[in-house]
Amino acid sequence: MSDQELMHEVASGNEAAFGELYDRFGKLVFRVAWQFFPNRSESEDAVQEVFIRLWRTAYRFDAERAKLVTWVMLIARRHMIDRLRRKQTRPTTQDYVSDPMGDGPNQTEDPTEIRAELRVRMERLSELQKEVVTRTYFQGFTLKETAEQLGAPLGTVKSALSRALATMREGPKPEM
Amino acid sequence: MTESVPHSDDPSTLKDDLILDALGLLDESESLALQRTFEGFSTSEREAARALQAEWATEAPLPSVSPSSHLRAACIASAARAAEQSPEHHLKLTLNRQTKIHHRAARSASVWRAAALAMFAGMLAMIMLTNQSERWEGKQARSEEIQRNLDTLGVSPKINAILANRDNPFIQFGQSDLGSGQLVWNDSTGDFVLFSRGLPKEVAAVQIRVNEQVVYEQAYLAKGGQFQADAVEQSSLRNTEGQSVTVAFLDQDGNVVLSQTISVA
Repeated sequence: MSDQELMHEVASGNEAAFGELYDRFGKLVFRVAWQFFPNRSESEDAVQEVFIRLWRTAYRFDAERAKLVTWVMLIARRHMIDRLRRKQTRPTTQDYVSDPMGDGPNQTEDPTEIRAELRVRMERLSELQKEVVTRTYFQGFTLKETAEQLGAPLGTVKSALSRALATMREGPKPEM
Repeated sequence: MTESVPHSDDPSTLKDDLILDALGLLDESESLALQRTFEGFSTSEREAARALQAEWATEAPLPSVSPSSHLRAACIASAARAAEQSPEHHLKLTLNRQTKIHHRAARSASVWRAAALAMFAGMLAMIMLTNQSERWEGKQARSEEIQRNLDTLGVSPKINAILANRDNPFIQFGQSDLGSGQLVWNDSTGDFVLFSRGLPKEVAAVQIRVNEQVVYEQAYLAKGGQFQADAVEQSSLRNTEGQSVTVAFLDQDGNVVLSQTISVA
């Protein structure tokens, strides 16, 4: 079933189609959720909220504009950022770069291995790139907010973020 | 990874923007600007842009974790609960309808039907807003226009009553590329409501038949795939118990494009 057909069926209330939507993207959405809320209970709650949102907005999906995976990722990330802002606490750089057994706002079930992976990826970044990635990619600040916080031009922040993500992506690829 | 990202005055910036946009990292104003740029792309450029964004969405640097096995069922159940609590715009929905006519009697199935109707209602309001945007002259005129169109389409207390009565029979129809919808009727009065969405443009008429005898036929223009609702009062679609009822959409030559038949218990 094509992306457009699938979302048409989801919008029409087809439960099997909704199940297929989860089968295709459930793990991806969970990984996005974990990035912001690295504990199983909160991540799973967030995933459920994202899929409710996907169901409610399924009729808006337009395959001419983007592939479904892109659309799902966008909705998932925006939802996580909204959720994070409601919590009014954001993970700090130390949560991702320092000793994984250190104190942080998020108590995790399996912190060591996951944070070690992220830590390895971020160790290859410059200090500016680390700050930009942490604030935008992990903490959900906008590019403009990050530029203001760091006292750096917006173009510099965008460029740093792009290079950082490319470098981090070159690390070991996890299974989808 | 594709390299055929469309050229612009600054191709590397455009590529970065596409990637950041795919990950939801562009500020809103820049995302909107990118969308306008995208709309000016050629077909091949659009495909390249979509592919680039999909690649990044799929392979974004994310933790290597997997959800619990129960999360799938939990998501489906959550969506069903959300459907039950979903505020409708113009229709009141009855959930957990008894399915003496329709053979899918599971609670989740009835909740999904209600959810579909709820979404139809929301889409109706949205479509009315979209279609009238060029002729509005202020908020008051806008809301009056919307109300007139809704009244014209019969989204009214009468529709509420038809849908709210859990004993009313209904036919759910649809195929993935031929549209979908429902026909719901009051078996005593012959009042019925017909919803549809996404019907192909060749649809020219709708027929309702009881035991293959046409009881209602009307010209029916599929509105470019948009949602539409029609309400008819006191038709001959009544006393259908024990009969077979068919809703059929025909093209201008009278050929059936889409149909669904049920046996009313």
